[in-house]
Amino acid sequence: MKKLFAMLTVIALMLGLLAGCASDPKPTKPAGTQGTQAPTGGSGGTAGSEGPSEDKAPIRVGVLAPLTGTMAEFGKTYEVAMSMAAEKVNAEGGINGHELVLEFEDSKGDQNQSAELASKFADDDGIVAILGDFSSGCAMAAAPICDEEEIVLFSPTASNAAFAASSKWAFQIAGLASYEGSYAATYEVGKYAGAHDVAVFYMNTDFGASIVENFRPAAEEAGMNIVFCEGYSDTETDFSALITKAQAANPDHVLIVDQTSISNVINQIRGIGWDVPITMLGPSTSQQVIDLCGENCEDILTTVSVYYSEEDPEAYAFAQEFADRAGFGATVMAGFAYDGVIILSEAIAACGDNITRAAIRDNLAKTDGTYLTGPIKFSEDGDIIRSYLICQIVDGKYVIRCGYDYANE
Amino acid sequence: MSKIKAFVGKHRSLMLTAALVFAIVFPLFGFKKSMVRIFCRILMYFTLAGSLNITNGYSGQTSLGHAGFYCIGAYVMAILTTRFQISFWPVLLLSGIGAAVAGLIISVPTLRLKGIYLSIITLGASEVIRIIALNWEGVTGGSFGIKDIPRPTFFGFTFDSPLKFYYLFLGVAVIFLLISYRLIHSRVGRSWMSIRENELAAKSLGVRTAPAKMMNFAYGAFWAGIIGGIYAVYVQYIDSAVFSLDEGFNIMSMIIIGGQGTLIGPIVGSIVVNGLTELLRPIGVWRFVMYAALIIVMMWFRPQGLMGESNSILAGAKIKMRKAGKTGGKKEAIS
Amino acid sequence: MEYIISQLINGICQGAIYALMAIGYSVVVGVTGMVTFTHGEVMMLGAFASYYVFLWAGNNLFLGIIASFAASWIVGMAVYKICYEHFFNAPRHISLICTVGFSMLLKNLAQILFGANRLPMLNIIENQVYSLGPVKINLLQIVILLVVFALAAVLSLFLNRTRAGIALRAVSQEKTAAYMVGINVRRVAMTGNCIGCGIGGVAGMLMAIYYQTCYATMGGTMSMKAFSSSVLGGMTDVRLSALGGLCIGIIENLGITFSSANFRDAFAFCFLILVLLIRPQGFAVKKGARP
Repeated sequence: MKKLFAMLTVIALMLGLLAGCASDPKPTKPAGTQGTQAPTGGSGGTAGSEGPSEDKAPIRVGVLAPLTGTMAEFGKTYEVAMSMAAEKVNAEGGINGHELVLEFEDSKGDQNQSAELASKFADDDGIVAILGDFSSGCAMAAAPICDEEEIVLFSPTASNAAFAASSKWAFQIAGLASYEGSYAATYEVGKYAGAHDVAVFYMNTDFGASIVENFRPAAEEAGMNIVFCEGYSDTETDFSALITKAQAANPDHVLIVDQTSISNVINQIRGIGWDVPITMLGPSTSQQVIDLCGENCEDILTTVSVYYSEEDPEAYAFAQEFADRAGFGATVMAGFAYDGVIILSEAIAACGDNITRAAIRDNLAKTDGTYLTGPIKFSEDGDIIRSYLICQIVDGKYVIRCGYDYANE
Repeated sequence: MSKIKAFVGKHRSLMLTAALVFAIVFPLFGFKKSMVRIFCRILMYFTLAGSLNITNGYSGQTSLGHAGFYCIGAYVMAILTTRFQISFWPVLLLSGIGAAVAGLIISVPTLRLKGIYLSIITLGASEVIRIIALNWEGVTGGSFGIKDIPRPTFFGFTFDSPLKFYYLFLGVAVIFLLISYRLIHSRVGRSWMSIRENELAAKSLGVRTAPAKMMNFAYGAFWAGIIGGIYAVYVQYIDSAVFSLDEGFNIMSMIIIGGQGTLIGPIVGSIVVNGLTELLRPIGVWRFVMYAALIIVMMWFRPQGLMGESNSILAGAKIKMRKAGKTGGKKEAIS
Repeated sequence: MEYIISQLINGICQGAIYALMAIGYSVVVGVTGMVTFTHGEVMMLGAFASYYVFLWAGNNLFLGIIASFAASWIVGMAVYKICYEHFFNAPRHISLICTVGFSMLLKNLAQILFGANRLPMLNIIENQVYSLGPVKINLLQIVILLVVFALAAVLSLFLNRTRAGIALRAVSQEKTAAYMVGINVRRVAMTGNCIGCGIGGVAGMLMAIYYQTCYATMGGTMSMKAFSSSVLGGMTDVRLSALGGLCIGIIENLGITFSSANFRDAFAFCFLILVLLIRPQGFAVKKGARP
């Protein structure tokens, strides 16, 4: 009897799976209904009074984001920032009168799922482009599928230089980690901080490794010695052994290349009473570091490509609203995610009435303008090189030390 | 019920042929590519879970580190096809052999160990393999992974769509099933099962347990390696993050849900696990909460798995619990 | 030389954290005879409980300990009811998969309830650095070391000298026999499991204070270390498990000293495999309940 029950369970599941596929949201929705199929309810759904007209079909864009799992924090960043951008687009009349609908799918930070979801989006004729995934690894896994299916895969946050180069359908705006690494070496640690012996701690992911790969030659060219350079796994929590090791190499400056456990490293360096000057990089820069490190992070230098300063009302308002909605401070990632939606919606708008995936790709490649996170113009490959500010944390606030043109001075 | 059982028993080969024909024909009915990908995943995990089932289900050695063998297979394939441009088919065999060698090596320490000590060694070995893959930058690409793994070809026929891969996965699954069926019903398979039921008794009856266990590990690892190899060409980009311990637990939960020690169990487990995670998508972030709850519920009601064999030691729970339920209330002794 | 000594101290401090987790772990495994993969999540919930208490009542360490102990005790009850009680007669892997499932459930639930981002736990204990000659050690590290020794001593006394403790050990070694001599096996097993979980909760709190942050996925890698430590100590003995944790901490840090931090887990597991090859039961000598 139980075996029968088991068989029935399996058959029911199979049928459910097939039915689930069959009942996929239809690309052509009856006019007049506005709403979202976004299962997580995170889409920028409701249109304002002067919003998009209701008799035009909404334009649907798929988003791959790690909403659960160990990277859920960044998935949340995606969800909040992109929803804000979509609301802004829709409040300003949508895309040529069409409402922009974002459909979030949870990739769990898992490459297989990311690839499968990309394929699911590609199969759905109503989806005109895909945003995401957050991590370079997931984006890389989805890239071959989007290349094959000829749909734009636009990851606002991937920094692996191989990603956009791998396909003409792949785009990234986070700025190449390769350039950020050499900028940090030449200008931040070298020219500004005037360091001679540098110790480097890096998270051994493609982000950390590619920064270091480019930091090393640039630093040597600038006349610095790298006295210590070691990676650690991205789940690392205890850095005491590494710190002692670095300390023994007697550096006069420390560079930390990390995303998630930056506060741990800083706290542990200060925790043993070592007051060496510290530099960190863009993705770490957020209010959260200050919250998590308190006075331990005083005087730390950082490069940022985006600075949510009070002088820039739009960016400042964005950061404030983001913090309200997400419950934590905006990193540069939030700005990238926000810009991703805006840039994509402009590319779609440029297609006019003939919205095809190929037209979106061509228009996206032509993007040239200044956005929340600065000027964006894609290279041949579909990536960009960003310019950076050098900031310092003073009294629990980021203060700009050098402007974007410091490299040219 | 018994009639159905008798019917199935009598016409077993007929039923199996029907199932196979169904598996061959049904993806042709205009499924979307993403849907075919899910079928591919189910078949892939079926063979993967089936190979773990050889170790866990048939010889009763609880291995938690199957992701490690899978990882070796994938990396062998990726490295040899991208660096040395060796064609897919010989490398596929090498993937399997590479994983089998690793399985042999790992099985040596496990000969002395039982139960959880064995489990932690397999778990540790799997993690060590992943760490090596992550850090041996010169060979494995380190944290950048390996990209642009070429698609396999077969006499000018290129496997370039999910549907073609579906048939590749299906073919491998069928071959795996056939060989495993023959093996399990041979002397070797019976010695594995005797080790599972009672190792001491098996020894006293003249079963040479050490080589049997080693062969068991190597055979299970071999198929994990084969699947790893196909996985690498299927996704065309691999990095070490995929082969984490979570993946090992995922594979293990499939065989436990499906039923250990049966050939059909892993396919049921694979359908249930992969189907559930897909079906629960609409509930968003609650998906894994729900999934975890369902696994626990399933363990409560069918601890031997959906397809569990009732005459194996693995199903001991059912028998003993039923007895306990009949004879006494709460104060029943726990043995 | 000074350098090696300070690395050893680092190793001991790191090992103390593993030991702290392993103590609770070995109590759970010793009493129930089942392997658990939920321990990391139990610790995480203990840490969150103390986080909210600190938020609400200021940095009162005593209240924090009580809150984390109580929260983890309650979680322990749930773990016992859901993952163990029903499966005492079943093969081990069934309760094992249940604990894996339950840990997944708790982790995802915590991520939904407490948010996915890291929460700060700053300056709960004022940080002071003491220099003993060339070696630097901070207050927190001393506190954790002391807690480990105190816990190991108190638990050993409790398990070997008190009536309740002896009942726990009896259940741990042979459930049927314990039942025959009139011990309420289910209740004792539940209490033992809850004590282990409670200690795990306090360990989680100390860990969160030590690393100054707490987040929903903090248990993941750490519970694997607790598991390895207590396997090294023979699964059931509190003191040996603590020793196992210390050993793993020292080996890892020495490995990092002479090689790279990338291989941290590899050092731990290779060491474990080597020890198990030589002594298949870990450090333990006496027979206890061995899952």
